[in-house]
Formats: sequence, structure tokens, C-alpha cells
Amino acid sequence: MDWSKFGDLDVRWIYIIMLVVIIVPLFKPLGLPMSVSPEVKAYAETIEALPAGSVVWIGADYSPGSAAENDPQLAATFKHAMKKDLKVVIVSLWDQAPDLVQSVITPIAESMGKVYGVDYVNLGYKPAAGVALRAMTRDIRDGAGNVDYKGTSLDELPLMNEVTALTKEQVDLVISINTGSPGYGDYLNYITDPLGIAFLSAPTAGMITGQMPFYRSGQIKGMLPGLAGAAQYEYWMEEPGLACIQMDAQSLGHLVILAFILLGNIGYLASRSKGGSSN
Amino acid sequence: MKRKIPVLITSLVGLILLLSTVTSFGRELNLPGIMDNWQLLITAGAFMMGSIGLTKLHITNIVRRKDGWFYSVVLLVALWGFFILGLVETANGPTYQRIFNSTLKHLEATTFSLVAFYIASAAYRAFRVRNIEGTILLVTGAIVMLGSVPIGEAISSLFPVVKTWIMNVPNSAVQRGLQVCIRLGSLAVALRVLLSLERAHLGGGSE
Amino acid sequence: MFRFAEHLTVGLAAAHSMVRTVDNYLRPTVKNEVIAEGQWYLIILLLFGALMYLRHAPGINWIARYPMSWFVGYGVGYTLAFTPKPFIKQIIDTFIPLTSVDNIIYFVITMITIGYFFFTPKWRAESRTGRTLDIWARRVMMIGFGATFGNVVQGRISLLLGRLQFLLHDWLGLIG
Repeated sequence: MDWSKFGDLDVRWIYIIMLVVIIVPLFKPLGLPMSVSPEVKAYAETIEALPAGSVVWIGADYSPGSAAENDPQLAATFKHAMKKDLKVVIVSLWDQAPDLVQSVITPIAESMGKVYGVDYVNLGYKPAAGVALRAMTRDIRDGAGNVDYKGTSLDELPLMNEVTALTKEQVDLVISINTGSPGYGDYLNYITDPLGIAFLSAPTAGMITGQMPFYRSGQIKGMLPGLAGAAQYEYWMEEPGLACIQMDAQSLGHLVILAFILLGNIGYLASRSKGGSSN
Repeated sequence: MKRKIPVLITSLVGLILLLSTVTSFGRELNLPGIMDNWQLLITAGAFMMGSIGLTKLHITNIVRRKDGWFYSVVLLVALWGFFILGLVETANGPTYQRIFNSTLKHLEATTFSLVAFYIASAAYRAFRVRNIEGTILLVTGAIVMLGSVPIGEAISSLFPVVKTWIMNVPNSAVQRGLQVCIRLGSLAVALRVLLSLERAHLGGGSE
Repeated sequence: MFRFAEHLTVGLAAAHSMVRTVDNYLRPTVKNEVIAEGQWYLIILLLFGALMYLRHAPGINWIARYPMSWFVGYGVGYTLAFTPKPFIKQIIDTFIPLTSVDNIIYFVITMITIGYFFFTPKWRAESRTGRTLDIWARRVMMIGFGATFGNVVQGRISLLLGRLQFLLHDWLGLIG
């Protein structure tokens, strides 16, 4: 058999095989067992330790491009917070996030009988990122233009009469659901480190490696790494959802890519030993 | 006037902000607060910067009938039409939301999801074990990929353990080293700008 | 079709950013602070920011340097004021007791990586220590880049899964 041919496959075969392999588990789940990694456990337990009535500030800083990873993270986090009767304030430093946020949190809040303005508020998009956050550390109304995502005055929302500034005294936990900049960096630099507020991060998978040093130093108390992190969180809460369903397909997707890398290298090594070079 | 005053503004603003943030005197006068509010307004005043640049570029394409000028028409119609609709209806209006939910949301999500196929084909074509460094990269990548998903644990319970170790120890160390260097560099550049030694932000052009 | 979709995306995204800025900040600020509270001087600040648009006007584009210099000065001031604290925490966390293998590995790798960028390529090429540092720094950095690669692949597949979920469940209703 000519192994060197494996180094030169038509890429369309790769696309088709990958698509088929990923789609099959969506129809017929494999039911692979899951375990919870230490950083996800730390994330979940930090929220679990908060007493009822604590205020959680969520920075939903992502766009539709990464919604497939960040939406399940937000959904699981928000659900956990609502189960614990925590108060949630959500703000977005990315302009497309508020609409995504509403589509995620509204069904969860309604199913749990939570009231907008009392139990949770979506402040919407605030331009100029870190500046808006810093302004909110003095007075949320200053940084938020005194309106929520719909343009409703913050004076009409009871929760925003209790939470008037992003300070350690009024906010017990800050969570950043992020995919780039602005995102966790702004919270770390301007809010959590200077003010000493506990900080959790739920980044997309590509952002995890850059945040690990902060997790290791304790500046980030827990992390939800990508969709897999969201799936582990759902598993920890014993409420498997969308993220868990997709883990089987995710697993096979990884295997396919590794298989193709292996094939490519077999072809390369075979053609090298034949004296040629494979591309 | 054209360069000296902007350089002075840069240094003054930077210095005032730095001193007012780190000294109690500045905080008592609420200088950081005042300047934050000014910054929000000044940034908001320049909110159309990107769109004007885009418009200028694509109008040039249309006027000169460059290859693909029709797509420039599509872009400009989408840009200004959607903007005007948003001004009239606000971003929460029914038509605006319908257009956002049926087009932009899915277009962006799909654009990024296509990268999965390209990563697969790029990994197949480019990842060759030609040297030690390439091998290390490949092996580490494979362990992290398998350790992150349930199938890795099904194959061997060591995968998640080794993956966690890789992420917490060697990867974290490398990232820290990189970030220390980047932050040192950014502090050095910031200091140079503050001392007016760096003037690249003023652009070229006449004095 | 792809180019059509690409241009449509860019146009809509740019418009959305502007609309959200107007809705969530400009409109309420002008309505509440400028008109209702009579803080008319804030218009001067908005106009100062608007001077950025003159960048595209030939002959008077130097005026855009004024708001640009404000932005740069502002960014520089806050970089110097806020960056050191988290940075110093990172440095402190690097100097950990060398009482375990993990800690030793961590410390050594961090130092090698910093050394790679600290010393000039010329020194690294000319001295024996530099060449050794070069080789080992590249090798350990490949661990970090390999981890990044693994995570990026994971992320991209997740995004593809999101789209497939939409197509097969939300749109076609083929999966539960």
C-alpha cells in the first residue's frame, strides 16, 4: 500500500468526513461519561457559597460569533444564580451582546418565576469599555447612561436602587463571560484587583491559555473553559442541557482532526522514506 | 499648533490621570470621575469613525467601478439603511430586532463556525513532525484536545489529569512569561508616550 | 454568494454598533444630562470627539490629532495607573517556594520564557548560554502554543456545533 498518498488527500474529503462524524452524535448521542475539572468545580462552588440575596455582576462580553460557547456558559451561570436566589446585574461591553443575553436569560427567568428589575437587570451595551466600568465604580448611573438595555430608566428598577455602584460593599462577585477584548482584562485591571472583589471567568476555549496564569495566582477564582466547561457545569448542577448534548459530537470532532493529523504525518513520513517530500 | 499642542495634551492628560488615580488629592477632587465622564462623551462623539472610513473606501470602489463594486453597494445600503432604521425605531424596535435576529446574528455565527473546517484542513496539511519543536507542539495539542472532552477520559483516565497539569504548570508558566514581557513593553511604551518621546499616534503630515 | 454575505455582515455589524451607542448612551445622555439638567457644556465634549471625523478631510486632517491625543493620553495614564497591580501579583506568584517538582518546573519555564524575550537575538546567537537558552525556550514555548492550538480547535468545533444545532434543531426540527 502506498502510504505516502495519505499526505495528499483532497481537503473536501476532510470537510465531508468531519461534517458527517460531528452530525451523527447529535442524532444518536453516545452517552460518554463526563467528569468535572478543578477549575469548573471552583467556579461552581464559588457561586454555590454565596448566600441568598448576594449580588452577582455578570459581564457578558461576546458576539454572535462566539455565542455557541458563551450562551451555554451564561445560561448555566444565570440558572445557578437564580436557583440560589442571587441578584444578578448584567452589562455588556460588546454591542451585539445585549440581544443575545436577553434571548438566553429571559426563558430561564420566566421558568423560575423571577422578575426583571427585582431579581435581575440587563444594563445593555455600554461604550468605551473600561471607562464605563470605572465610572460605574463611582455611580452605575453615570457609566450606564441611567438606562437599561431597553432604555428604561434605572430609577424604575428596584434592584438598581439597591445596587448603585460597582463596589466591594454592594457587589459580592464579578463574572466575566468573554471572548476577547474588551472582556476579562478590563474587569481584572479596573474592578476586581483594585477593589478586591472575587472574580470568575468563562472564556471561549481559545482564550483559556492566556487566563491560566491569573487562575493560578488566585486573581481568577474559577473558570469555565468553553463549551466543555459549560457542559461540566451543567453536569455538576445535575441538570444536563445543551452543552452536555453537544459533548459527544465535540469528542468525535477532536478525534477526527487528530486522525487526519496522524494520516498526514503517516503520508509525510512514508514519502520521506521514499526519498520524495509530501506537502 | 499642529503637533506641539497635541503632544502637550497627551502628556498632560496622561499625567493628570496617573497622578489623580494614585494620589488621594486627585481622588478627593474626583478628577478620575470627571475625566472618565469626559472620555465617555468624547468617545461617543467619535462613534461613527469606523463607518465613515468604510463608507469612504467603498464609495471609492463604486465610483472607480473596481472589481466587485456591486458588493460595496450592498455594504453601504446595509450600513446606512440599518443605521437609519435603528435611529427611527431604536435597537429594540420590532423590525430592527427581526432583521438583527434573522440576518446579522446568524451571519456572524456562521462566519466564525466555518473556521472549524479550515482548521481541520490546515492541521492536516501543515502539522508535520519535522523537528522536536513541532513534535512537542503536536503532542501537547493532542493531549489537551483529548483531555478536554469525555472521549479522552473514556480512552484513558490519564488524559484529563495530564491535560490539567499541562494547563496549570508548563502552559501557565509560558503564558506568564509572555504576559510579563508584554506588560513590561506596554509600560515602557506608555512611559515614552507620557514623556513625549513617542509621537507615532500623531501620524505623518506637515508640522 | 459568500462575498455578498460577507459585505452584508460588515455593513450590518457597523450599523448595529452605531445604533447601540446612540440608544444606550448618546440619546439618554443628551435627553437627561444635556437637556433636562441643562449641562450644555457636554455638547462641547461631543463635538471635540467628533473632530476625529476630520481625519478624512484633506487639508484639515491635522485637527483630528487633538481628540486622538486625548485618547492616547487617557489610555497611557490609565495603563500606568492600573496595569502595575495585577502585574505585580503575577510576579509575586512566580516567586513560589521551590519545594515541589511542579513549582521548580513552573519557575524555570517562566524564567526561560522571560529570558528569551529579554535578551537580544544577537546575544542569544553569539554566546553559548544564549544558544542554549534559545533552544530550550523554543521548546518550552511550544508546550504553551500546543495547548493554545488544542483549545482553539476545541473552540472552533464548538462554534460549528452551535450552527449545526441551529440548523438541525431550531430550523429543521430533526433533533430533540
